[in-house]
Amino acid sequence: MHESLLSWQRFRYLYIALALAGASIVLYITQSGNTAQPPNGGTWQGYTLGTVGALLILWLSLLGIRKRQYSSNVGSVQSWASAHVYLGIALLVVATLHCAAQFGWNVHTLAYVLMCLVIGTGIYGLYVYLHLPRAMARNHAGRDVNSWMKELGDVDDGIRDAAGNVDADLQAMVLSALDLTRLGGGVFAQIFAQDRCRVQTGSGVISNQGQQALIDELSRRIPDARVVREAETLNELMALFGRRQVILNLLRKDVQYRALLKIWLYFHVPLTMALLVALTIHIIVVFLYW
Amino acid sequence: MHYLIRTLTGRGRDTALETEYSADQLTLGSGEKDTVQLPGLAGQLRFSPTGDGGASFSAKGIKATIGGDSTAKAKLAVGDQLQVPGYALEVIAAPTGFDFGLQIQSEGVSYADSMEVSERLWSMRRSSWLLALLVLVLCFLIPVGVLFSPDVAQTLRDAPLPDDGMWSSGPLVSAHSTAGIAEDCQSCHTTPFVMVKDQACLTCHRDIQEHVDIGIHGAEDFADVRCATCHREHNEPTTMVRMDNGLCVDCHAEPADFPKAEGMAEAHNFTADEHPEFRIDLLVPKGRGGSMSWVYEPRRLNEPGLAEQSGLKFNHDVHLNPAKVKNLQTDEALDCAACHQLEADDEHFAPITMDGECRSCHELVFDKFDPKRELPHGNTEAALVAMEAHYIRQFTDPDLRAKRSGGDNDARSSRRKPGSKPNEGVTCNGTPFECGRQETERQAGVQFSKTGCVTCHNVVDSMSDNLLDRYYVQPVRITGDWYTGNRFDHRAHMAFQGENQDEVCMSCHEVMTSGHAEDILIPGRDNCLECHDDNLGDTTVYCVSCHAFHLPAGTMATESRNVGLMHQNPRESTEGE
Repeated sequence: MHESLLSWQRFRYLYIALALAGASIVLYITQSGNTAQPPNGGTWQGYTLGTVGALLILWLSLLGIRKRQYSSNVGSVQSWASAHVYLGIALLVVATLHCAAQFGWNVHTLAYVLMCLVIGTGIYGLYVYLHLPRAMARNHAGRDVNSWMKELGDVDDGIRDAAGNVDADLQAMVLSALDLTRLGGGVFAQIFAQDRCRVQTGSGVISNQGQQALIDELSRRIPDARVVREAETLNELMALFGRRQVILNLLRKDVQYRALLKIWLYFHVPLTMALLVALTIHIIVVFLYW
Repeated sequence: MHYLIRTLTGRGRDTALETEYSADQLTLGSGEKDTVQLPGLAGQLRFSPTGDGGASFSAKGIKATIGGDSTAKAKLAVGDQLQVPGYALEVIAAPTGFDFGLQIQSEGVSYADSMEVSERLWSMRRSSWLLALLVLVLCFLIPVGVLFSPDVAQTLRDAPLPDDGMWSSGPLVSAHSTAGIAEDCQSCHTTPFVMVKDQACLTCHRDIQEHVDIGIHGAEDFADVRCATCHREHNEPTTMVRMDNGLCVDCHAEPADFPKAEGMAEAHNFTADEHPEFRIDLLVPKGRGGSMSWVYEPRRLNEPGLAEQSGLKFNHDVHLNPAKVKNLQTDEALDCAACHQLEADDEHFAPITMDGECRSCHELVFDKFDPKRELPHGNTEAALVAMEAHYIRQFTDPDLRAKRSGGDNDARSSRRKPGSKPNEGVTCNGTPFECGRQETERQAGVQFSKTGCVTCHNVVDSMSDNLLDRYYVQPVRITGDWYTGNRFDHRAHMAFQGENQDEVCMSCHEVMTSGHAEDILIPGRDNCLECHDDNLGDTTVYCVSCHAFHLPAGTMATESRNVGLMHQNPRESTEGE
């Protein structure tokens, strides 16, 4: 059985993170004995929490380097990732206690907000890493994407063949439905699995979402079929488009899963870089205007 | 221009649909205005015929692969092939009448759109750089300009540009949120990477004084104490002024650490066990005669034999006894406010003066024959000269002289009328000057040693022949502030339960039994502990509720904080000039 990122080494890093958060809370509470100033980043406890937080941020961002160093043997990447997750969440506690929840329109709060965004995207990333692979495997139904793509191509070929036997109007419509099929697209189209398939009809291009417009047209025509052959062809087309609908939905879902699995890192990493800069400015500026 | 577009359709690659188009420029894409529709194409392809069957090609929003190179611009000749996602294009020889021919083959299903989200996003590297640089420029590189010149600072702060205000770690107290300070970080943070110096505070707070006289108590005890040690800015909630006992008991709990602070007693809290008896500032006369002056001496109230030495004779008990003293206007007993008027600070009372509080009863009349004439007060010589002038005039004027000696049978008689004073109505036969002097001398004896001045004042009779030098009235100084370094709000305490104001006053000041001006009527620690004992848990007071930190007796902060001046004797430096 695969050992989860979370339960790695019997939750070792969960306990370390809990201990860190607990120690931070205790340290924070000792500030209440300081009557010269309210809890903030400027007491010795505040400086301590700030130093721990800054070192944590540095170490957490090193995961990006460590995971590329395949020859490194400073702990396994799984171990690093497990620690990254738990200590990253503990950082939220450390940093919030460091600033004593004092916020303003300043570079210090900017660093905090960036940190929260990084942690937030990270938590999202953790969630999708834990849940989506299983959902994707279920969606693939034991086959891989290429196999589904190939079947879609076969279905389309079948449709083109069958379309040669229907009247010109329907042929044009059927072929346009193939041409105007969309999979994927922009970021939003991928993430929300938008179905932007269209079809050319006599009265213009309309949405063919879920291949429904075409299926409706076919089902409207079947009862009117004059000869048996025509009805057979229409039924064949109907079956093919039904299959097409299934495959397209499956592929669209696959695109969505893969997008969801990847998109967070496109925020997590750049925000981390912005955070590192903001953090450096925060530290410099605090002592610049001491 | 005329174009021939051959579209390969169906499974048999030889089946084709040929379409003619006429336009200035041939465009292919999925947009509405494109001449030829290529569904799903992410950009636009443009072809301008060159006249030889070829065309100059350009692409917008997309790149085409031509002979293995990815490009957005090329010169095409007949037979050239282009690949764009979803389509394969080939330039074909244009038949007569056409300027350009193009064959389009749709590559299976036109799933030209991206199915990888990473293809549609900026690379992580690119967005990382962009975000990081954005933060660096906006939050540091632009604001840091304020450090280089005041002009740049002013420009940045005036313009809607990021300035060092975004470096503030929290709001300022309202008093500091003012023009000249709020927007100008450097008004306090004068030197980069150096903690705010006291001089920055003292620029405005010029009159603030040190806790003690550093010349006496040793600057070394306060060497590492900055203004900002206690006064912390940029905090939420604001803690600009410390109220906690730690401010004081950090040092005052261990007086042994401060051997120079003589008489400093151990204090932890305001309870009978943890707070010493109060130390009043007793005015003590020093020197004799004309060189006499008062100095404040700190004395504990529990010291035996402690007495006020104001030089005045006074009794509270008689003045407050309606059988003996009544208010002239109301004919009722005097109340406290008849003499003691609270000043605007709600702590001190207006000084008692002869003219203000005493004279309405204690008139300085001296001559029965001129009962409205009063002596001037506060100047012995002036009083004697006035008396002398008065009597000389009396004896110069024949009518007045007659009135004094002859007009009155009683006055001429050798026997005194009961109740009359012995020196009144004495006959004098000398010159007006002699008689005036003689009468002055006698009257002065009465005023300075029997009644009049001597009622309230201590008078020394030197028996000098010169009348102007003979009597010396000791100066008076009534204590106006028993606790010079402390604060007390009389008005707030007047809300104390009691039927009237005087009862409230007398609940602390035991005046009804005080028969001497020497009685010290200022209450001490135990009186305050009745309500404010920390053990009681309510009406708790902090140290600074009563004790001011910046004491009036402290060194001027501007001077003592200047280390250069502190080790230098100011006299030496003036002599050198």
